[in-house]
Amino acid sequence: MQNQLKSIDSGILEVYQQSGLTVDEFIISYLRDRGIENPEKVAAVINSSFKKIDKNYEELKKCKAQGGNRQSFLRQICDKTFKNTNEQKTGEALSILISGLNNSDNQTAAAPAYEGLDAINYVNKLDEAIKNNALSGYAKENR
Amino acid sequence: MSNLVNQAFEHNDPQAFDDLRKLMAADLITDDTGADEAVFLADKGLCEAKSAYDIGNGNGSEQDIIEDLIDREAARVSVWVQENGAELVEKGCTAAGVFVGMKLTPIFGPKAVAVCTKIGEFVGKKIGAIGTKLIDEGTRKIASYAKTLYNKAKTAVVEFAKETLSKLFG
Repeated sequence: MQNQLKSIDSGILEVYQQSGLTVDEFIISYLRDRGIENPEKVAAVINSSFKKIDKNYEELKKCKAQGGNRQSFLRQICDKTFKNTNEQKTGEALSILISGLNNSDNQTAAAPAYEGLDAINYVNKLDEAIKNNALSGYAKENR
Repeated sequence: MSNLVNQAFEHNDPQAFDDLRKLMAADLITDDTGADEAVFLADKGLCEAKSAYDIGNGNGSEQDIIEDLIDREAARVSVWVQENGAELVEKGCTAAGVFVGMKLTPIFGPKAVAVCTKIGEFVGKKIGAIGTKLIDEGTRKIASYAKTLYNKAKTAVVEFAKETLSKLFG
């Protein structure tokens, strides 16, 4: 964490703007100079990870524009991701994930299976946890 | 020297914003922070800073901006689920808890807030005194509205905890 906080103001923008390189070329060179292994691969992960977030964000917006909501979008994601997993284990995993997002330590031994009405309940709770997570930094800070 | 930040924030240039996100992510990578984690933190930090800047500048309503921040969080969480969900299921209860602690908490836990706040401060400085003022003002406005929503969401979380414990202990 301390390393992350220090690294934010490392002067990367100034170095980049003086480099004359494209941002992708610069990142590979920058990572290599910092001794990061496989800089090309790491740069590719950076690119593809941002694309995935942007894609899901656009799909969520599209879903809402077509009359859906965040819960229906999350339901699609969960149904697709957990298509081939055991419903009981999926319920336990989602319960742990939701607790993790809420920063709580709920026990999950009795978590219901991810199916039927309980699947809807999990998705609603996941949405609440996302809201909670997105807002907690603002709510807790003395701003 | 902060042309990229000015382009991204003052001129709403999406390409500059994308480039800034990538550079910020590259900068956040350390021995114990992988590329995936750095990307999530850079995305959250810069999106929050941009929202605060816009609100501070009188663009958009707090309600719309907060809904958008929640949607952006949903996009990040959904990517995490797509990437890690099946593995989480396969691990089973105890190992899944450890996995969440190692892979999810650094991105979505309280410590991530500190990194995102720092990103906002960094961006503000790069824009100049006016940037810091607008981001501070916008953050205050968002926080004021967010506190009401957060308390409602927190109540739902407590209910979820009670429900889980009730199923466990009857």
